[in-house]
Amino acid sequence: MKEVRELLNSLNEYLKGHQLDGEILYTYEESNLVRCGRNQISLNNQQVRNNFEISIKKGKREIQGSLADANHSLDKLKEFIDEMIQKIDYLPETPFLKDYTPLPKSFKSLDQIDLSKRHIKSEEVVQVLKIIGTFFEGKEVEQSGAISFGKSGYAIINTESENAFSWQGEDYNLEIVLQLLNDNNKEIRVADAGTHFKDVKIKELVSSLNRDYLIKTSSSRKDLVPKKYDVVFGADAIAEMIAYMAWVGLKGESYLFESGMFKKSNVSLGDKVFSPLLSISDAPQLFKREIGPNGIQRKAMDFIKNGSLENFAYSNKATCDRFDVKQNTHFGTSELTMESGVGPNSFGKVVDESIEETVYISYLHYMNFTNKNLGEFTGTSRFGTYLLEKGELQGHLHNIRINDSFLRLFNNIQWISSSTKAVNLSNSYGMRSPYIIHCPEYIRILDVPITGSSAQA
Amino acid sequence: MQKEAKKIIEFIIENGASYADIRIFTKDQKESIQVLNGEVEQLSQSLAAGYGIRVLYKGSWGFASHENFDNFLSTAKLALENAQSSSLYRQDEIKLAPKKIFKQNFNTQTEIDPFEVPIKEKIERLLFLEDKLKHSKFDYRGASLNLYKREIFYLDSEGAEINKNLLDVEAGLWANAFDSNSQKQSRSYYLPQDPNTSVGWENILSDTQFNHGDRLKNELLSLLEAPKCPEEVCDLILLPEMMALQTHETIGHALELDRILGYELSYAGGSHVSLQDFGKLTFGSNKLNARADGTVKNSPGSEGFDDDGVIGKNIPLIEKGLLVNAITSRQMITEANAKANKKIFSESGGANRAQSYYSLPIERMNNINIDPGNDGNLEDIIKNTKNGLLVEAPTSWSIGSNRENFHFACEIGWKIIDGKISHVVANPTYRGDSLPFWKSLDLVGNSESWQLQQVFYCGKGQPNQAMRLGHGVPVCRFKNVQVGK
Repeated sequence: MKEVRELLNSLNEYLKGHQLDGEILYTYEESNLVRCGRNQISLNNQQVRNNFEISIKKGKREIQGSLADANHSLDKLKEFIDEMIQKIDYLPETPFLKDYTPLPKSFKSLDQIDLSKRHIKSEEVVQVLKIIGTFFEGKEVEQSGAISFGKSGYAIINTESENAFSWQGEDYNLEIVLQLLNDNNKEIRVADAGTHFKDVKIKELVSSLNRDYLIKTSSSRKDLVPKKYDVVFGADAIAEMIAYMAWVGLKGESYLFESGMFKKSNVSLGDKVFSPLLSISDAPQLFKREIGPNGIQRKAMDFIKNGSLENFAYSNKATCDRFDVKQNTHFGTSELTMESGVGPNSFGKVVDESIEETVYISYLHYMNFTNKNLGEFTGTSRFGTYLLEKGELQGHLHNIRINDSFLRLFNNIQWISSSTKAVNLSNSYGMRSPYIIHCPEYIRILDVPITGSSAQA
Repeated sequence: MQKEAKKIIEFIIENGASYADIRIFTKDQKESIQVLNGEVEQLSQSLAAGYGIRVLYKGSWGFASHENFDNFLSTAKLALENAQSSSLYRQDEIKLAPKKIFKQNFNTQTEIDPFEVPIKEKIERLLFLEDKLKHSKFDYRGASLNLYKREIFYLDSEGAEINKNLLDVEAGLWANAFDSNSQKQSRSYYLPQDPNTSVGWENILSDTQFNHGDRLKNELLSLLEAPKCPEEVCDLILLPEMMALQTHETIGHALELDRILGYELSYAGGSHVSLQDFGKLTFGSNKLNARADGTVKNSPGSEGFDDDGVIGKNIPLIEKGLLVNAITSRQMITEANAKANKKIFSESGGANRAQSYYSLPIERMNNINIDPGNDGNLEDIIKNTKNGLLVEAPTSWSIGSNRENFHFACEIGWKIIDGKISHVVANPTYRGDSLPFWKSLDLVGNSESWQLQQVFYCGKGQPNQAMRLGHGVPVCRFKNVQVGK
């Protein structure tokens, strides 16, 4: 990234030479994905992409542009900047526009790539999928899944700063799904994420899948009467709920525009909004992105502390300028952490302690908000919905639909497990950018409205 | 560039591959303008170029893409290596169904190229349209314009050579405000296309197509005082934006053949439809006629040819309620016929598409349309409804993993009592199970009510691909639907 930083420094000087303000962000990815469906590799893909995102400000006028230039050509980038400069005068003024924030000086650029673990042939990845397929051979299952690995990075400079900052790192994520052909096409899933693909523990993946395989093939499937149930959510489901809640509740942009469930007109920092058992924070951890791709330092920050609202994440410059608020983080590279509690730390203990009728949901599929104002959402369970009672697993269930609100759900927490897990929520719309939520393995919530099931379809 | 691409194809085939294709995006250009409360919120432009190489080796796919054209050969080698490693874990050899070979061009029909319109003029038009949404009770209003231009060259080892020059115009208007219960309410409108005109700046100048600010303003004002949508079972009338969503989620995705076969299980999910259902399953009432039509003019889903080089086709999916076909590609129909041990699908439906040069094509909707019916226009359908709810503009959608059930929320609803619109209701939602819902379709609007909706962000696949497509849909009525819950 040294050459890229030097290139950005040159472009920065070019902007200054034109008496212009500006900010330039370079992003890149070298991303691989091996996908499996119907017990065979269905896709084996590598994509190499790079992009220069340029903002130019002239007084109270601002224009943005992006150029994918794999050759990192200074001349081509200058030409692109020149074209932008020519258009900027046609723009009307935006009175609230403010200066770019100087990059923090105390951080050195970070290269997280471990060359000893970096070189991975897609053949090695294919082997992981094959090993899992071989373990379940003869059991009438169809394996699907994907393993994604790669490196990505960014570098940023603006005219308030002298030297560009860069970060690059690597990450992997995987998910394997087995469909049980002789058992009504029931599904089981395992997922994992981290920095180095070579750290993947195949035995643990197989063991996890086998546990669910045995449950699903040795117990009967039941249907639930739609009503309120006490529910234990697994880590994947918890991470999904935290991510959605954060999107509509913790982003400063939605607070300022009053488009989410917390609005500046009716909620203030310090207000108690959730159960005192709930704490959510952000800090650079696994991926060590101390400065985000917006050039803002990502300090450790409490969002929810013991149920009280502590902070909002302000990432977007345009919104912050509009409302005269300072950017305080970069939400897209956050590593949210939900604090653990004192509850059961294994599935076995969850079962043992489920004396009353309890539904266990491992994963939530296709969540969406039905009313952002009220934090209301819906989604269905998938890959492992179990009925627990009298300290025993009573059987597994059809996928069920939940209609609830985060405001109610996170005020009805009974316990949070003491064990935690890092759950991958990266997607690859746009450039590769790892996104992980650290959350408890289990959480028990009372009176969750179950409104239907796939059995009724 | 094209000569170089041909040499690369030859290299790949000489090295043992049975098939290869290259898609070169010589230009992938976008321009975006957003105005908010009378000011320019964003003006951005982007430019990219790159290529993707797909290789079939011993019945398995490999793919690699790059943006540096100096890396053509190394990228081809990588695609070949990826295919070779894929072949180490294979159950059935991938075979491509035959296709007709074309050497042809496809251009979007355009009257005024929006990239040629001065920035100042574009901003002024958006500010003019946005200003119509101004009201003292509203806190935010906005207008957005996204323009996309792509120049693509496709070449494959079977001899196809296709040049595409594609233009898409995406635009929207919106406003929001607090209602009497301190809840945010919104109204929005997104530019539809008209198959009888063209795609270009003319769409944004057209009052019929895009100047809908006054209507939206009045509807939002009504929403601010509106009661909440009641919980009840009643007849449900879907206006085009909601019909597009309903069709998209519960017909379109359910009938993607790769999904039916199980290739999307680990991510997006499966389908309640099985191979045995084709020609047998009653998917909806006998008023339901649906098709995957890659030939509809002016839709972002019509690109002339898919990324298998198959020419756009108009494929009936559901005829008088009976399921007859799927959204298909060359690979999947061969595989499905082999799996079913009979010929269900006779040819590729031309629906194998990739988001960009860096993505492998997979089965994607092109234009999943519902044929207009004979039950009159919207007014006629309202007149024939005793107790109903009319809804428009999706705000939320959640669908079961096999597309077997759904829960949707909308921006606005109108309660219908005794054949007349009684009042506006806020936060309308409805839910159902897919097959019973389509079987409850009892009134299908005529061609006057039919509209070609554009979709720009349909997500599917890994790595995720956001696809552009269309839905030509009439206004429809469904009996006895659970709403408000």
